[in-house]
Amino acid sequence: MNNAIKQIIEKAKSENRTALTEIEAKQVFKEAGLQVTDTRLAVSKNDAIAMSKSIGYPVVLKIVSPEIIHKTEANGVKLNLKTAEEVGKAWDEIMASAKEKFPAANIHGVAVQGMAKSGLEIIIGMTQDAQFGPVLMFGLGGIFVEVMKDVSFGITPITKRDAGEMIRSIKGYPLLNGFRGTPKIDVANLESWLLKLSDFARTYPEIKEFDLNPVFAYAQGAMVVDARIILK
Amino acid sequence: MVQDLNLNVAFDPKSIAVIGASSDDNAERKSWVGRLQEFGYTGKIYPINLKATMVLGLKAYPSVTAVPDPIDYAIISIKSSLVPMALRDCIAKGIKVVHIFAAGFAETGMEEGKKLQQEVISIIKEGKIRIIGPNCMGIYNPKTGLTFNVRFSRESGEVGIVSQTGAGMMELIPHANARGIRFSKVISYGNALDLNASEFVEYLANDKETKYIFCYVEGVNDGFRFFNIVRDCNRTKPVIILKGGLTEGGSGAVSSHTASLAGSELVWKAFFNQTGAIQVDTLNEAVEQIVAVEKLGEIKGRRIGIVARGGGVGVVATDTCERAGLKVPALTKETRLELAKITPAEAGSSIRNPVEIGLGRFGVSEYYAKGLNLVADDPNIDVVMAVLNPHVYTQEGVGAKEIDQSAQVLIDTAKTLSKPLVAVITLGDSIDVIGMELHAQETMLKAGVPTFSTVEAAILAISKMAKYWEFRRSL
Repeated sequence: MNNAIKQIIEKAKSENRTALTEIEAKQVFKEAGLQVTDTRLAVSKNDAIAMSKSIGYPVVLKIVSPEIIHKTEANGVKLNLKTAEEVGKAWDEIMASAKEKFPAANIHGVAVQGMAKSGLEIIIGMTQDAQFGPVLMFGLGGIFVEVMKDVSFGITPITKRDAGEMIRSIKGYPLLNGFRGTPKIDVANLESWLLKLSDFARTYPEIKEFDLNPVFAYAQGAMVVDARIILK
Repeated sequence: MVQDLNLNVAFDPKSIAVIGASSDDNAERKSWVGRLQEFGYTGKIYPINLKATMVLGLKAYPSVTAVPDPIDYAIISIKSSLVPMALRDCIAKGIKVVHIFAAGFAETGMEEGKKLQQEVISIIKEGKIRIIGPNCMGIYNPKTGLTFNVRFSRESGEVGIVSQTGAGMMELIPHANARGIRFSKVISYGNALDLNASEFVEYLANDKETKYIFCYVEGVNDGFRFFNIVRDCNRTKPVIILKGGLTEGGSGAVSSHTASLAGSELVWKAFFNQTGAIQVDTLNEAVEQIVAVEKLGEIKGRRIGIVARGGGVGVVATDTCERAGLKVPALTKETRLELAKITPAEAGSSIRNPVEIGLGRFGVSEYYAKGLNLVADDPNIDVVMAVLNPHVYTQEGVGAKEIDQSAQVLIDTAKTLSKPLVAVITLGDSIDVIGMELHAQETMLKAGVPTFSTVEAAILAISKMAKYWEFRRSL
């Protein structure tokens, strides 16, 4: 049990929230031992511009609101912002769109994060299965998960062998293994992430579901680019 | 440990009360008391019937509490509304395990049945009693003379079954018996109101007489416990599972990708990957897999050597193997040279793999056993499949004698072969020939040769055994 994680969960509970914000979720996964993109909460336009400068351009801005789970659909995500002017304009657009589409939403601000170096898009998730308890999911992101449903599951706690099987059993596995000149993905690292997340899921039964979507996987290591945690 | 003791009582009771035995002997002869008598149960039987004084020559009692002697086990075969009262009597009598045959509980989906099931649950919470069922056939243990069908074999074997379905077992057990399979202990447990799949599998996992387990489940009460028990058991005793009702579990509005994708089918796939349990899809396949699990033993890899007469038969078998994840590699040059020496110079006979040596027009070729040995000894081969279709040669004088002769050659050869042998004897086109072929199969199965009626069934069973042993070696 990690104190920082516990505090984040307790805070959300005390505010009667079942959804953690992206910033909270990333903090949780950072504490759980994963690499996450540097993501900070800006509460004003000037704040956002100052943070962008300190993180380093280009940056991404995303709406932060417990009520807005599907941020892209709310026009709440602006990518590849290269200057202070672009950041300011993005702030205005995000706020205007959020107020129009979710007038009742409680808006915490905007998350400012560095653009992660692009990698192979992975999705890792967890849900509580009615019969088996927490089950982990692994798959390739984007169309592979959306259209092909090319994912594998693991009943937690998983073993190292199970983690390897989860990764190798998806149909898209050759893409991780170096395909047409793309680099071979660091599968050992993904295995260790699955093992950490298996522990994590068993340690915090108050978590109902989570998605790490996407994770960028590289030849060495990986990076959580977006994350979502839902409490029971 | 108390729990283990209770289950021992269920499988080997010294005395049984049949609550709801009929006062009409002709009716009861075909029911629980009659079955126990006919099947050779040697313990005491106490028929319980409000009005009768004698049932099938046994003294009957109005209730279990009226029986002067202790009772180990009871079978409740009365209408569901009377079950709570009977159960209270069983508790008062100190009966340890009760099998509720009666149906009409939660499985009906009706309010009344669900209420009745709740009532039974609250009754058993008060007393020290364990329940098998309701809505099930209970126990078949040939060693102690317990059965729910007198057609089942009275010989004991090494296969244990834990099954939610009883009707399915009435079909499967005689079918498996005919294939040379004998059972150690079988439980049909129905609604699993108290004792459930986890407890029965755990019991069989620790049972010395049971070496292989087949399990039919629809739902499990505590999936995580079941998962752990199957995983532990399967490391030493193979567990075959037929999961009934595998459908996409769409669960309404969900807020994450993971939850929306986690249909029960995908999670059960994880269950099989992680436990290494052997998944089968039908009761027929379960029988074939039980044959393979018991008689095939360990196979070291996926490379199969096929010995079959007729080029096309071999080609199709090769495709079926490849589709099932088995490999049909070419034999080494050395093996081929040896095979060339013994293969009659018939046009087009292949000696690569599949190899064309077989039951010729005059019964078994004298070179047949030698050929099987050559294929088995090839370093590229892990398992040998011999395919015979004797009926093809009946016009040329092949009959019962020749067919039995080839069965014997396969039995003898299997004993000396350096790799496991699987035999396929396909079934012909007339009752006479099919009878001869079934007889040959039976002889071979009794002698321990895994024998199948179709190439497809054999290959599917072999591929699942290859996967199972890969799992065992990966631990």
